[in-house]
Amino acid sequence: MDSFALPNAEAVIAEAKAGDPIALEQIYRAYSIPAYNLARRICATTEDAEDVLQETFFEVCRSIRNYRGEGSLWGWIRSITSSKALMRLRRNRYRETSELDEELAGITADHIPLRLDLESALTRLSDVSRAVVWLHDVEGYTHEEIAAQMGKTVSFSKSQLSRAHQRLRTWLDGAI
Amino acid sequence: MSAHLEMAQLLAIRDGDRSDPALFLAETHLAGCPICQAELDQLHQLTARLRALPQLSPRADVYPAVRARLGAARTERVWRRRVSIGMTALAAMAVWLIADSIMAPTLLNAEQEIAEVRRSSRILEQRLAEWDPDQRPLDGSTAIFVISLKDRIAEIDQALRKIDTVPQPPHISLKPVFNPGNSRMQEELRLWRERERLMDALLKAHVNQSVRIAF
Repeated sequence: MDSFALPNAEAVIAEAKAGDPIALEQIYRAYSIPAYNLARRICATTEDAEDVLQETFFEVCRSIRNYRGEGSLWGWIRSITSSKALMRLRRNRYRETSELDEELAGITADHIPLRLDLESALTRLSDVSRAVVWLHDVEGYTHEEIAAQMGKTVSFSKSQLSRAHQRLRTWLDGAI
Repeated sequence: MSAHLEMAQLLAIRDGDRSDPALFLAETHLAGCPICQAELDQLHQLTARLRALPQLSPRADVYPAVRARLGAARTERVWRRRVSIGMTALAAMAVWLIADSIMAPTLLNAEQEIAEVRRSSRILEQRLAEWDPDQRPLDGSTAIFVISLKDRIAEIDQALRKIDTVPQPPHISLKPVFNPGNSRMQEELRLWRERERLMDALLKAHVNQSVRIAF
């Protein structure tokens, strides 16, 4: 994603490290959409996702001098985004299980529509399950990395992914 | 394995997760089970659909908000640095003033002590002059001792004259530790003390010699 999103990346990063506001804005323009999508898929609301995006790029602009170019710039920004988004989930006291989620929403298995579109099904997952599905299946994080970011075990991450797919399988039955 | 694969096993096969030793059996089952193959295929499709979900765009005013926060943080940092520098300067000045007030009496004490040693040294010199040593005979060893004492006294007098000719810095200083006047005064005091001791020894040498001669 790096070379497509930010042409002449090395020069732009060097200028951003020197505090050039135009270079900092170029970085924002290049990576705000993937960062926002990641935040939006983890966070429950648009407002939370936009707050996470703002916090992420505030951190990126302040800490760009610490970026040593060891991984891709997007990899660095992505880790800040996911960390901020998961922090936001924790702050909002996320619900860790789908059962509790459904209980709180007053939904039982009988009331779930037979078929949902993928967006709705994703929204219906618990915050943690949705975050694990997105980080693992879309962003390509390993269970070890997800566990470290969430402060949980690897088996927790694996079981969340498994349960989330079981649910998605049921809700999307025949729609795939 | 007769039952179909569980979701966790299908995911492990999809992700190539070899940490589960039972995965070999699951793969064997998968090879001969069209239902589980279909499930695995659906998993792959779901992943592809997740990755193909439409991109969402944030509001346009997010970056201006980031810029405003950065500006506010920079201003706060500048003010914090100014306050920090001011506090450091105040603390340094307080340390200087305290040290100065502690050191000032020391300087005054040294000055008083020099005056006393100088007076004592002059009294001894006066007594020696009254004794009129030039008129009194000295034996060989006493004469050598007296000459060495007088030579040293002459050296000290020369050093003291040198100190007197150098202009005196003011006694009140904000940095007593580095005050050159302080070390000069210490040196002057040391010389005067030595001169006092030598003068005392010189007087005693003459007195003892004359006592020995008298008996």
